[in-house]
Amino acid sequence: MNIYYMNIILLKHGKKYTANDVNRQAEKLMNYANYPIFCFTDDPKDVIIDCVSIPKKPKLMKWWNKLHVYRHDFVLSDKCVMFDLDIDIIKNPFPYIENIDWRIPHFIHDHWKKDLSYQPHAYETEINSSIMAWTAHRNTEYWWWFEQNIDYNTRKYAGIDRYIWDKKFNYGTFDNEIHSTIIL
Amino acid sequence: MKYIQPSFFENKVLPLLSFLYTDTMYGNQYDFYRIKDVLDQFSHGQFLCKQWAVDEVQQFIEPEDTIAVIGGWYGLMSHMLAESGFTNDILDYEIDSVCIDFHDKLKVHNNISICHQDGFEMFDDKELNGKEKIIICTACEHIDKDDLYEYMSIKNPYARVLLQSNNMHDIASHINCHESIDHFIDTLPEMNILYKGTKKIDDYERYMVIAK
Repeated sequence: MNIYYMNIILLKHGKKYTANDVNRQAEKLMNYANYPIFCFTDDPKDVIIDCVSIPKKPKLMKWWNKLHVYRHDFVLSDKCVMFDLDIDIIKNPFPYIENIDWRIPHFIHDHWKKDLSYQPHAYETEINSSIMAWTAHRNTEYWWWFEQNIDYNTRKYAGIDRYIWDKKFNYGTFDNEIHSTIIL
Repeated sequence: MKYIQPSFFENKVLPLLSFLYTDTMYGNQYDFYRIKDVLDQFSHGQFLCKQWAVDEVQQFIEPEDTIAVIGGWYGLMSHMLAESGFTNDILDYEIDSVCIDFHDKLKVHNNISICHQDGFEMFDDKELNGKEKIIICTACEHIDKDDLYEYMSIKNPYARVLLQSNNMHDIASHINCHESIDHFIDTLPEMNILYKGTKKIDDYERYMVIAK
């Protein structure tokens, strides 16, 4: 019996990914864990797993919808992990997720990026939210800061990873071995 | 360049950028991206779409009309309106407090007032709704479609509105883009259309409707 519990979440917004992409990723993940799997989406049509609606307000586009999960009113509770739909899961990633410090959100560490010489205002980041684990209703500062000026933040940062990195939020990274379980 | 003088860049825009660069070196009041954001406000595409708005809306502006610009960013729209010769009161609404600071620094014309407020809130206020006879928003791609519909539904029927959006779907801050001017109009409540048009700017299209 699995002593851990977490919600697995797959984000599908807009038309970039199909219900088929969600269903296929969910089937892959079911090979490695029997946690409940939800699709966080604006369009549940043809999705075969349970769906959770992306909040309508404020309306966000693309990857920015990931930040909704840090809202104090996010509909799911407890431990959560989100997998992007464009990563290929080739081995069991859960051993590198289950034992993290769940008090802070965790991300993949793109450790090779530390050798890149970007200027600070590129907001380049070593974290990668292709897999993101957090405890619902903690760390709501991730949403709060974003909400203060959504329009500016979505112009300034080329994605949520750069936003999180630049804001210097408290976070952790998965063991680098998680890279051996996926193809980014 | 129509409705903008070279002296505006020399005396206002370039000093602001210089100030910002220095401020971001030693202070933490502003962040470095503001420099890019100001540059984007004064881009070729921004000039063209504001110039288009001034050209088309001027026939609908009476001398006694107050003009409201909603989501005025750093104030280019209101500046170009005043520069074109309008001496009407122009209220520029913006919710970003840094834009308000810089709009003040860029301001040339005394008939422009800058309000740190969501301009669409005027529609919820019986006293304010319709006080501004010309309402301009050239950034509808940043406004929730349902919100825009609701505001236009409750606007004073005597107020004329100029709305612009575009088809730049790839930009993550754009939450209300369209495929055509008619598609844009379809998302608005029924109004008396005074003007509608499409302008190709570089590799995208901008849509404008003036309605009552």
